[in-house]
Amino acid sequence: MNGPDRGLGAVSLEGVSVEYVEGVPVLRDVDLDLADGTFALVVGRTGAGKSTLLRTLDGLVPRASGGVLRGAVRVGGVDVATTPTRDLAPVVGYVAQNPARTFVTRTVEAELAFGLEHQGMDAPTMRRRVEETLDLLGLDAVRDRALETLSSGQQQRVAIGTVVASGPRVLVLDEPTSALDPVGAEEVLGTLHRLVHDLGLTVVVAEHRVERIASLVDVVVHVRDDGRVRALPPAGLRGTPFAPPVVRLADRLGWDDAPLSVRDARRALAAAEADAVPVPVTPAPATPTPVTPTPATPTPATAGSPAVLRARRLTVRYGAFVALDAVDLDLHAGEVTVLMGRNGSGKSTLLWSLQGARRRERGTVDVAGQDPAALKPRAARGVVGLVPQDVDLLLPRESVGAELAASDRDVGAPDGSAPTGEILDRLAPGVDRDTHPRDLSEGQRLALGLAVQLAPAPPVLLLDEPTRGLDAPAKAELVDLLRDLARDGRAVAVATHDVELAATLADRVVVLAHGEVVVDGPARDVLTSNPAFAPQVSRVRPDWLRLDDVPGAP
Amino acid sequence: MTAVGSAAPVLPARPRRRAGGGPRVHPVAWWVWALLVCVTATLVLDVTVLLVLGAAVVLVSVACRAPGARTIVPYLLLAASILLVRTLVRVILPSAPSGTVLVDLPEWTIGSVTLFGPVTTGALASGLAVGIQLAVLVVTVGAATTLADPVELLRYAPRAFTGVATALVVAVGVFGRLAGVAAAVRDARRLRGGGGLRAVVVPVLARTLEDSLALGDALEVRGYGSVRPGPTAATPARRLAQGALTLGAVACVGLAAFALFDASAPGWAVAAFLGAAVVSGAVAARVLPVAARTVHRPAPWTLRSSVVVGTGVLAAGVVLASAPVTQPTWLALGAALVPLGALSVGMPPAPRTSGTADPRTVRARAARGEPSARTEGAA
Repeated sequence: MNGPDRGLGAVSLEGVSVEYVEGVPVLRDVDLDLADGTFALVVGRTGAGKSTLLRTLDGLVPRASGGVLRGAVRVGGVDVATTPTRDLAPVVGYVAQNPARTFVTRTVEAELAFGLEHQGMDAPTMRRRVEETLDLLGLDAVRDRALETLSSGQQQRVAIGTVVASGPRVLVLDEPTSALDPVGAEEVLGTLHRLVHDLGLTVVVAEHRVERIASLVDVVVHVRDDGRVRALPPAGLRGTPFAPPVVRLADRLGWDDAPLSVRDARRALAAAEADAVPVPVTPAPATPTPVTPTPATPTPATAGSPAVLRARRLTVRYGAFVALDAVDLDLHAGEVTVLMGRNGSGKSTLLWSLQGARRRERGTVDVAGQDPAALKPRAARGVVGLVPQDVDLLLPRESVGAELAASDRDVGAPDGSAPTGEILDRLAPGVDRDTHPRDLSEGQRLALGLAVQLAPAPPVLLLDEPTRGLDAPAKAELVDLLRDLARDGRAVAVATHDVELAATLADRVVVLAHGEVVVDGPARDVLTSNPAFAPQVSRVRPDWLRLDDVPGAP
Repeated sequence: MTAVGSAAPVLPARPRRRAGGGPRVHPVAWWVWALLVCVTATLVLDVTVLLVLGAAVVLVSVACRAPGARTIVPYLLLAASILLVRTLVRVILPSAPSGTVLVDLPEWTIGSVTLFGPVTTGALASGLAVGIQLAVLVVTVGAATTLADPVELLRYAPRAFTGVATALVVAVGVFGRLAGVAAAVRDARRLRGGGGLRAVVVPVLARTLEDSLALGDALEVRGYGSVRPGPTAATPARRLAQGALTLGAVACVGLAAFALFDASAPGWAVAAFLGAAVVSGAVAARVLPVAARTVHRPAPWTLRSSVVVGTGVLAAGVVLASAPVTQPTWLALGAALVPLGALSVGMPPAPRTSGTADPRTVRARAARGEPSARTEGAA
């Protein structure tokens, strides 16, 4: 094994191509150089090869994945092709998407030590490394806690700690914040920022929610659909589909320089307003207080239309843990309601118990005189449809065609008609019927799950975290789709952590905390008043919620 | 255990103690103690002595459990259900009647088997005696898990068994998660209006496979099994030899356990198999010493640990000398009380009152926080 050569860049790829199937390159002639201490963001559409690029850095592609890799990958001066992944631990660390899957021990401290124990590190060094890692990731207070009792943000930090403990020069993370609430995501990104600045680590992160991270990174690596890769400065995001809202704001207002952070955008706006004649602003800009209910897009007649679904005093317990505590919720026809709240605040539990798939302890659910929990499963899905976070769980069959056929059978479609397929073609045209559901892109798989759940035409549609793994264009399509479904007269409820999605999608926002409803009101009021859930545009100027609110060049 | 003592110059020995003050008794000591109590219980056939022994074990478990550790309650429930089933079996399938008749149930003959019939005190007592013995064994194993986490115990496995021990640790973790996957799949099946066996089996298998692959990657990334420069080169032949010897050792332990419970096996078989296991384990460790791992903050073997083991040895020794114990003699009752001696040294230190370190606060916080998989639905 050749020792790390400090002279070279931290990451260097030369002419790298990866093929899983002969003749279909996922990555094509990639040349990439990242200097020591670089914070790099990898963007690209789902399926473009972001994960593949990340996994080549640790040799998991092609060793764990199969396929053929051509070209040279050097990380920390070590040739990845000739060094087994296990021997790369002191050079590069890779953190996969779902940390809970990768834990092997019970407590935080044991988990951090596990890898070092198996590398045969001597006890004093190991002790020092574990203590350093605990401090670096702010985990000392929970060092003795069982891993499953940690919050998702803490679990993700432990997962980062398990590889940082080996003292790598390069840290690679695949969507580290996609499952986290806004506060947990801040925690993790703050940790990464510290690792770059204090330790001089090179950090490479793939992330769909670019707005969270764009202001922190030094370089953006764009993986294009054809598998070619180019490195851009963060300002180069402008004009790409991945541009965060503050950058789009610059486009809209016609600024020359795009701000990357909310703070820069505020300054630019203040400067622009000072320069120019008073900016034509949406009605009622007079009061600077954030809680101005500005009826820019009038919320659909929530008060007028009767509730399709009425839940009263809904209570769910898991053992001693009260997941929902006497929650009241109404869902109205033609309205999109977004549920927000920390991880574990009860959003998912609420959706599942509204559908009747989770046993409630007390309370009532009423959909047009019926209680979904009292119905047989087949009848319940005709009343309330739920698309779970793991769409895969809905799709156990081998091909899209088989799923569609099974769904048509379930809803008793007459022979010769294919209602589910028609819905799918409307949601995502051109999905090949012979494909295995797991081989679909995230967006297509979500569309298939939606089509299956929409087939029995339920008046209420619930979605649990639908945007996980969706890139920005796919998210925009989802928003249009759900708005259409609401316009057709359905009541739609979506649980999400994604504040930008909530801003563009919601008519009404319900915030949960510790199993109780904290706020329930029009999206504009709720999202602009809560600092944790405010979208970027609203942070720049509190009376704006979406880009549509911003006056300027269309 | 490598160079533990040289930690001193780098750091103060214990800058921050674990919640509950760190284990005063070595985890291995608790399991040896429990094993010896099990041996004692198998040699006793008297109900009174068994009850005293069981009570002693429960008392030690309750008093010496580290704060925040598992509780013995599920094991007590299991033991109770064992007793119940045993008694029911005696009622449904009566054996030779003896003692007074309590209830005379109508007999029901199917072919050559007679069900029900008179329920006698003698039949119930003999049913209970065997049931109680099994119940005490269950409670003792349960006590050991409350006193020292079995996964923690595996860290101290002999070097040659590192691979096997790690496989067990991983299996325990994955198995626990499998229950979560199965629950999520069951919930999701309802969302599609039911569906056959396939709607359960396929997603569970697919998810388990994905999890295993992710876990394998994570282990690899963290340097599991990395080749370090050692005194002996890791040639393929040596790797193979070590694997074979380790498996052989595990097989010998299994055979020894089998011989222990098989009345027809010769008495020397247990010792022979155990000896073979030790030898092949030792040879495995010599063949490829680079495969050794180190232990982070190993618990020291204290005098308290020796005392705990000592009480187990004494109890087992006395009963062994007077085996089989069929009467509640003073000697046997005394022996059954000896494991209580662990109380004198095994109690955890009083919890500190400062907010952050109080394990009750920590647990309460954990409960309010996020038991992730369960509460977040299909996650």
